[in-house]
Amino acid sequence: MIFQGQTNPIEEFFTVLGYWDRIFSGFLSTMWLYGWALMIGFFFGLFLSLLRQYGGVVSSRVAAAYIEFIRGTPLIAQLFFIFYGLNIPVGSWNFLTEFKMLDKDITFIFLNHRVLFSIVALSLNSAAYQAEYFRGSMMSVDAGQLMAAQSIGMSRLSGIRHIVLPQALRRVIPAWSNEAAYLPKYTVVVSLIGATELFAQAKSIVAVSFISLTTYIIVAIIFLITIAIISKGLDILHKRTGIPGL
Amino acid sequence: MLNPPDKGGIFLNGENINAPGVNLNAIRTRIGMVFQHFNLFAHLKAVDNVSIGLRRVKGLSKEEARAKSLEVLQWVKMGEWADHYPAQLSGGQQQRIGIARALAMEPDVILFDEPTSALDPELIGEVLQVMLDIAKMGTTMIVVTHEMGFARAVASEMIFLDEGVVVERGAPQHFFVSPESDRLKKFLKQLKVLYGTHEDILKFTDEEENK
Repeated sequence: MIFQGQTNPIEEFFTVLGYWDRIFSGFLSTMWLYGWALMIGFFFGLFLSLLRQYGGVVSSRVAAAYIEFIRGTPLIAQLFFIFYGLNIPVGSWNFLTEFKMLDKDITFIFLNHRVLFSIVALSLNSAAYQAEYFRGSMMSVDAGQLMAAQSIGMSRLSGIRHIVLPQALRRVIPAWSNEAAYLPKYTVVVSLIGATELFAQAKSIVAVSFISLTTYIIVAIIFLITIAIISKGLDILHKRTGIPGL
Repeated sequence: MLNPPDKGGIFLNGENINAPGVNLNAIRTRIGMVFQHFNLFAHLKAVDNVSIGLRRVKGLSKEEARAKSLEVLQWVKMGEWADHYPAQLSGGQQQRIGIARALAMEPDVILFDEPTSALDPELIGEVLQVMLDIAKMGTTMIVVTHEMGFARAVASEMIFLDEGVVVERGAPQHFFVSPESDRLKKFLKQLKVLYGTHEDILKFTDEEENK
């Protein structure tokens, strides 16, 4: 700032918006990572919570150990471990698409080794947190429900699948929306292994425009709006799937 | 068989079902169970509570299972409530669905675990009426109950348990009129203090009917 003259905040704002192609491409990338991580984390987390809640002595311990390990170590350490530490030789490659929007060329990378490892790390991390939300809601389903299912001859597995899970997944939505709201912000760390998501793009804008505060405020506002929409959506989903009378 | 016993034998139609190698799930379809706190599947409508066993265990198609469930619900006088969720129904209505759920599987025997003890006194009647109908139909029922009047009217054999041990067993007549053990005598005496003797109760009901 010392080397810059006093600039008009409004002017800065429009200068940054001039790089909207980078912001847009970064946003797409963030949402892409978020979508995959949340989805893979959902299924893997559900699997972990079932193991921990209903598994045998060994499998429930293994699931618990995994969950505690992931929750007890920093995401960035997990990401670096997977990307640099494991030394998996995948080479450098890109699956990308380029399209023209207004007058600008936008590049969107579907998958390269950075995106792949980012998705893996975020999914494995999110799964541990989601598993605990699922387990909490499974425990809140009355034990009599599974007992009643078994009383009419349903197997334990079938009872969990058809009786416990439909109720637990309805109940988990408010708590689970926590994870759904956290995860977009967690994706920011993958910029540290060079994945070009929103935050990485913001840094590149700062590098060429020398306008930092305004850029990051715009990024923050984008996150704020996105997460508000996600929360509202989950709220609506929770109401729609509510059990009448309860 | 929801909590398999550590030892001993349980015989269903002459077959020991507490033997190793017995398929518990298959056995459970042959034994109906009605719970004290109903334990209806909270996320399913009344009709689906009844039909889920038919579909998932007996492998009936959706339509067949629904038709049969509606029939059974009609039978427990819950036909008009088929599309309501458990939380929208009264305790007595929920318990009748619980009975329908057990009944639909056509079990050899139905177990009742204090089916009316979580209900308002006013709602007990409708549940007992349904149980009475099942008894008339000839289905075997094993009922744990505090409803002495009902037990007397319906039971073919009564068993008095104290501290997990069978103290006395016999026909209702024997049970109420000429009890042998001191423990049962004491129990009946306490009932008398509360409700009057069974003769008084019968006399009272007769008078009611004559009015």
